[in-house]
Amino acid sequence: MRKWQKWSSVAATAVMGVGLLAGCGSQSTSNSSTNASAQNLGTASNPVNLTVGIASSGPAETTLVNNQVKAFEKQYPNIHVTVKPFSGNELQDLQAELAAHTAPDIFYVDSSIAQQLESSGAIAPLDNYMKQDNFQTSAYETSLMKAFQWQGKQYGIPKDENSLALESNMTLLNKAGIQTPPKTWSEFETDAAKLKAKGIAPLAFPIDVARYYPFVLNFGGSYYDAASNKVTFTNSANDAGLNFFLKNEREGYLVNPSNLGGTWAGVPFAQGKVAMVAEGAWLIPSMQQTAPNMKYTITDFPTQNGKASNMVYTVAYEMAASSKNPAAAAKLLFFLTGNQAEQMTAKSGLAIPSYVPDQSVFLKSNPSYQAFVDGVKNGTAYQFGPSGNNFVNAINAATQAGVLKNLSPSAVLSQAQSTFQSQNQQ
Amino acid sequence: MQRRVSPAFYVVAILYSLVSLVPFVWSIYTSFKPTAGVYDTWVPLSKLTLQSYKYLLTSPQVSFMQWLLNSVIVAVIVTIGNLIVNTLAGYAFARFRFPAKGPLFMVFLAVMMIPGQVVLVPMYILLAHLGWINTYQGLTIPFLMSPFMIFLTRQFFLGMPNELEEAAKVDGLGPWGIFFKIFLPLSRPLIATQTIFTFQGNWNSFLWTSLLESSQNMYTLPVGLNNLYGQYNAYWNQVLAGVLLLTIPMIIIFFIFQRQFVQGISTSGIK
Repeated sequence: MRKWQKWSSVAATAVMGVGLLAGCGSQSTSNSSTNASAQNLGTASNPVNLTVGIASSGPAETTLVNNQVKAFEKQYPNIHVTVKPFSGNELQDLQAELAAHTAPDIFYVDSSIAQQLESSGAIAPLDNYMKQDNFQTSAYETSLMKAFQWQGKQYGIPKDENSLALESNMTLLNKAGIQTPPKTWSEFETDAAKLKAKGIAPLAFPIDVARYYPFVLNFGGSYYDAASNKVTFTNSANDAGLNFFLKNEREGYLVNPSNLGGTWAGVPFAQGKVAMVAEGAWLIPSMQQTAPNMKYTITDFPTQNGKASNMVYTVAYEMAASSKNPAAAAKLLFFLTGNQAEQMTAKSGLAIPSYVPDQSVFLKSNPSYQAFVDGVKNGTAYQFGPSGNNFVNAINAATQAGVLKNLSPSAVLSQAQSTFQSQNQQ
Repeated sequence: MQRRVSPAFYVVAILYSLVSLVPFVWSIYTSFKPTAGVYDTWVPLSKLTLQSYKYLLTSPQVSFMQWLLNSVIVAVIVTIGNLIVNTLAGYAFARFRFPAKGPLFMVFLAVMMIPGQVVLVPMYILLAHLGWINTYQGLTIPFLMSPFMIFLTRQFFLGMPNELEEAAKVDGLGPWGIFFKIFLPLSRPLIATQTIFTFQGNWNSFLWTSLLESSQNMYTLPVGLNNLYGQYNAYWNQVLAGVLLLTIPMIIIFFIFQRQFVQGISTSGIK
């Protein structure tokens, strides 16, 4: 082989190799300074540029945030804000962006993933900025604020809220001789027996800790101790609540939506295949689009043992620790969760504002949402610590096995505990 | 000699084809349903509508044509780049001797075994440092080669008889001449297979594209269409209309290259 042939082939393959290794990349995170001009709010000649990352539910929400940002820019003309919707999985996108220091200055964080991000150190605590701006925490429900605390520090301010209510197709309930939706879970069992006898599926309810956790709380149990960040599946006080769920599944009173041909409970409900669902306010726009003529009532999530436990789902705005303009970003964050912006949220009807004084505005034009607003008062945030993903996967897999294999509650909980431990040791 | 195929075989094959087609036909049907009846099992033909397609193609909130253009640009550049780079690299590995050839090839094989998700964050950081976020460079340059396709090409070229190369050398051809005049024309099935797989892989690529592109103008079709549904609020008629529009270019590519593609499979099977 001629020399040039030899070396050209070496060069070609070496370029390929370098390309490959470059493709794999290296974890070279630079520690860029985050302390730049702590109070910089920009000037006319040198404005501050900020970015807001949103996991938008659709064009209407993107428009709402854009309008809120315009109102902010009017108040702070030297701060320019760009709104960027996340296009894929928000957590996945955020993790890469936070690692590369390209994350937006502030962004949506769902309560279920909040502590995972907060414990990583990539999110800036807000306590100092709250003090500086005299931020009023009393304007938000405690359960909502708690959802964005980690080790005593406040990392996020909730922008909206949601909880579970009971939605009932009264036509189907009346067919079984039931005049009003059940107010307690024991009333539900009686009604469910009547519905089942008429061949009507009583309640579409997924096999998901996000829905059935109130039963565990109502019987005095708890799967997670937030104070010590410990997972407590095997606490014997949990058996009774889980047993209530498993028993009703076995009876066919609670029916997994997939068994009724739906990816979530709203689908069979819209099709008139089930008498009741226990979902949040996200059900309403879905029903308006897919079953605009169906009449249904919304009542409080049923109580049990005299307790009105509920699940609270909420999203906050949080700030990247890598933000180059933290003071301006904090101003924007407080504005987007404060009175003026939340009033715009209330008027749009897209979400229940977390800012309590604005909730009356929202309820005035959306009175049917009252149960969802009330549910937050007795709610527990849907979050189970920084290993929340593993937690949910472990308990949901074990509960599904429990339903399919007819396992006892203690067997389900032991399985969940060992799965969680093995995942967390990896 | 031709073997007689039993009629029962045709019956089973036809039935199987019909069953396989049901989800596709159902998707087409649902894409024509009005939003209010999207969960209804049957919607009468008179109520079927073009509203989803109209929305996708004309709504200012859905930049369908821009996303389509981005998808075409990315898939075409990546496919052409792969054809050039993979074929040349496979040729070098198969026909040349050079220092560290064995270890280098082992590196390629090792890279094939690393799941893409593992390198997602380091790759993102690298591209962020290069300033390639929200750019065509970011979507194309890291994907201009494929270790698997280099491996496939190498195996294909290894099977070429030495006599062919020797004869070409006697006739005065150099390595480039041998490659372009002898090997490349003989590897049409390989090129067709690479084209289809590479184009399809990039056409449907979602994970990396969604991570890299945060500006709506830079979305590719799968990423843009993903925004049509939320966790609870899916417009299934629009989603399925989008998916069908997304599928059409892939079907065209397959039909263009199908003869070579099938030939590639059959020749590799009778060696």
